[in-house]
Amino acid sequence: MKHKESATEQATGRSSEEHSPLEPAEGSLNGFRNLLGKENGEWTSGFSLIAHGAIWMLIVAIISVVIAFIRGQMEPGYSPRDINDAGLLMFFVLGTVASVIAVVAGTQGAIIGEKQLGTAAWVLSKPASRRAFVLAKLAVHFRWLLTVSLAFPATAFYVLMTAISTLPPPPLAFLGGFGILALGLLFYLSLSLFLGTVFESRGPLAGCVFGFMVAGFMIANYAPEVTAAFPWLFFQSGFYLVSQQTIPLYGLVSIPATALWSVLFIILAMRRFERAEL
Amino acid sequence: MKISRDHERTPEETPREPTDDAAVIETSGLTKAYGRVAALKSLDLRVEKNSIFGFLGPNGAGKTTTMKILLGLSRATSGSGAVFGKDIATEDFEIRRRVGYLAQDPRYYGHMTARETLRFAARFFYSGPEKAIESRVEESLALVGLSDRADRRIRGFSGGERQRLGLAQAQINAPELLILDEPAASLDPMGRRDVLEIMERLRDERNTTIFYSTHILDDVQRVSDSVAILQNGRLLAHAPIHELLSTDGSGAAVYEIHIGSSPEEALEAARNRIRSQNWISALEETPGPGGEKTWLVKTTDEAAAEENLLRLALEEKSIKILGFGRKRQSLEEAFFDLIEGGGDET
Repeated sequence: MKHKESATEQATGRSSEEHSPLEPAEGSLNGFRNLLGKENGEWTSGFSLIAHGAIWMLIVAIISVVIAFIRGQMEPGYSPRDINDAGLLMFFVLGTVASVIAVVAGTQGAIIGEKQLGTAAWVLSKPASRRAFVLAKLAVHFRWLLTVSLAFPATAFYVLMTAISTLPPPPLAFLGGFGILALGLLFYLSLSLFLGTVFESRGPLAGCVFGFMVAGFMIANYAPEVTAAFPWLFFQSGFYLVSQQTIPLYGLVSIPATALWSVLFIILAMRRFERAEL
Repeated sequence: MKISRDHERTPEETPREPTDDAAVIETSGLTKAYGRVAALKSLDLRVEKNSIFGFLGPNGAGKTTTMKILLGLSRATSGSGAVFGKDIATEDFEIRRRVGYLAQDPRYYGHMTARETLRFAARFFYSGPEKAIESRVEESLALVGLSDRADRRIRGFSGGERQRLGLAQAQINAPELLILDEPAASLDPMGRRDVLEIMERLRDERNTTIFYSTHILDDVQRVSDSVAILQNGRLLAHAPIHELLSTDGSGAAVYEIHIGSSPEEALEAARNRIRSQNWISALEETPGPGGEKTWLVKTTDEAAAEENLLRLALEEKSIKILGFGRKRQSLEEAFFDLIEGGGDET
């Protein structure tokens, strides 16, 4: 280790404090901004942003548009609106599935990984709020997952669909449908973070989140009334909103219910993490 | 010196005494169980202000558990503790403001550089000004000799470089208490020496209290003011290091008498005379070359031994005394005495 000659000032840190006093960080969410920066850095420093962006652009936007284009070619009697509907249904189905897969891929290790590696213990050995730790993950993962799995593909889809069908889907309704998908993403993200405080390994977390989505599709066939409590049929709500400017009754119930579940999972995640042993 | 062979107090009987100004860390009956496994058994610990306190014990003894409980990263099952007089169960946030911590196998975010890591750590303590934070970061990098690698991503750092970075981040807030979990692990001998020097400087120049664990007993003997030895979650010894090194594992002072070749009758008479004293607890004889012998005499009364022991031996005129003095054992000897003596509990 070098520079031992200037030991006193270096070791004590007196020089900087004397010349330019540091201000102590305060607040009940202490460290939130700092943690936001760290989470953003993790997303933007590697290839994950590009990889997610490319995959979801291909699956959600390009495949939906290609299918609508092929249907239009195969059915000469299809009107521009029919072509739009074919593309929109695929977009909302693939968008729903993509957001769940993206959540699992992007966040299964968000809390568990940090607990296993010891970085959570390191951060929380500082005066960092545990709530800030969870909320920063929620905010940053939501931002980037929404951007790469839904927002960019949705924009590309809208532009390409308009080019193919020559009839732009109603923009406000499309924005509303996008909002429904975004709420679904928030639900699965908050569920994933909550499960990250419950389990000690990634497998059960991934299984639970995927299982919840798959089980929902099956339950919808046998007990459709249950779907009103969860985001399982959000793809239908989004599709009907854009194509028919209306949302089915189960959809009207499931939107606030999903919002409530999301808030509940976030509160539970914070409460559990507050007591977690690191 | 406190030598603890067994703590009979139940966890319910562990009220915390008020902490006075001189104690930075004080625990009372601190207990931690993971299911049916007791990781820490009624630990009573006191770490004096401005001291270097070595926390020793084999792997799994409960050292890291203790440190994590003190920092609020883990919760005690029962018992209590205070750091700076603040309750570790309810005021851990305030405690962490004044503490620096280096984990046993420190891990940081691989996408950050060393400089970014220190900046990240500093911002939990300080909101600004940025210039002062940067200045603190630069000083910390220089302190541990990482200035030339400051902008390298730590994903590629060696174990030793990570350990240095760990020390830098631990002292980024100029803490009053440094809790270091094996700070010299994965360092080469020069790195170890530098770490010990930094620890001494921080104590002497900044009045920092240092509570650290290690397996390197020579390091502990060199820099520590006090030590505690833990095994299977149980405190075996807790004392200033000079006391620990001048007593045996049971807490008795030990004196050494070197005797040249002497008539056996005289030796027998001297042995009997010494053993008959009520302040003598044991006399062990070890043969040496050329008829020499070494007597190790354990006493329960140091003052009586200092005054009378040599005189008792010299009463036999034909005995040749070559040397007399208090036996100073190495920390390694003391450690193994305690660990092997107290290792019957699992």
